[in-house]
Amino acid sequence: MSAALDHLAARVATDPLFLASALAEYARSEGLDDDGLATTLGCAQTDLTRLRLCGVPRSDPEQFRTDVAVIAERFAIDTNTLGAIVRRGQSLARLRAAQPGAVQPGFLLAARDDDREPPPPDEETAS
Amino acid sequence: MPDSWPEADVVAAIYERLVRGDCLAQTDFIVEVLEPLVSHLWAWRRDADEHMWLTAAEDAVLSVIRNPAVYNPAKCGNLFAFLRMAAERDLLNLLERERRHHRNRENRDCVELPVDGRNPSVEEVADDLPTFDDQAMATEVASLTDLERQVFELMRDGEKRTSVFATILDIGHLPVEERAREVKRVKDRIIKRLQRAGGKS
Repeated sequence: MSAALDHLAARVATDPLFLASALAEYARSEGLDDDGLATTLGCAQTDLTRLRLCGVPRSDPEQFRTDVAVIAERFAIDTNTLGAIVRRGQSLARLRAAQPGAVQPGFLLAARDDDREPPPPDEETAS
Repeated sequence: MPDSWPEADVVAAIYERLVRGDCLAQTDFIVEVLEPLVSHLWAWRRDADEHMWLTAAEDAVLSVIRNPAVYNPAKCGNLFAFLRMAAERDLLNLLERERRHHRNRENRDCVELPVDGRNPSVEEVADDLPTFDDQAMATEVASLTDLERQVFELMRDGEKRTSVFATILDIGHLPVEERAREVKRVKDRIIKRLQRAGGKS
């Protein structure tokens, strides 16, 4: 896979428009590196970049199933496995976004006293 | 990096899928256009660096993915040509930002116009826009619009290609003659303003 594609896949790792975001959340929660994620998905590691650049499945349950099936077929991945990973990743992303003072993945919040009222949680966006 | 450009009809077909919300279209679109775009920018402006080529190409591609309507097939023609133009513009903006950064560090703007009393052509002035530190001229330069400023910087750099100026001015879609006329008009206007400020012509 080319360096340009890898670069872009890394850039969109927090962009909910891309599957990269759900996969990154899932991998982080499971402590998986690329090898581990590819093994869990049952695909070649070299396919990960293209997989990450796919659009995120539509949120309507029927459309979600259809989209996951299409992606799974393209990359020869088990549909149920992919669907479960994407759902889990998306849930984690939503939880992260709903946390007061949500930060980008990879950053740690230092414990601190803060008298301010926490902002209301973000509205959950359809994804 | 591959230097072959994607087939227009292939890219157009993927674009149609993108518009329809096909979840595989994003990855297919990126795989099809990103590398050729980076290669094009690399060949076009070697004075930029790898980060700039990648960023400009990615920005152009992502703009279409996030909002496919930015590309209007009826108005903009070939999608890859559209992407190329958008990426060139992004790259020029990045270069301009970089230049501005360096300029700010030096904390001065310097230009000097010819002093032989005649009215030089655009090309002559563009060939040699040396340095000066006249306050009126500096003020005039500072008052240029962002676009004029970019054109002016290109002139200072000795850029002569109409296509480059046309990209900056976002008039790449115009016929060649009209494009050249518009580029000349903008350059002339800038030069006249600088001449007036310097009072040398």
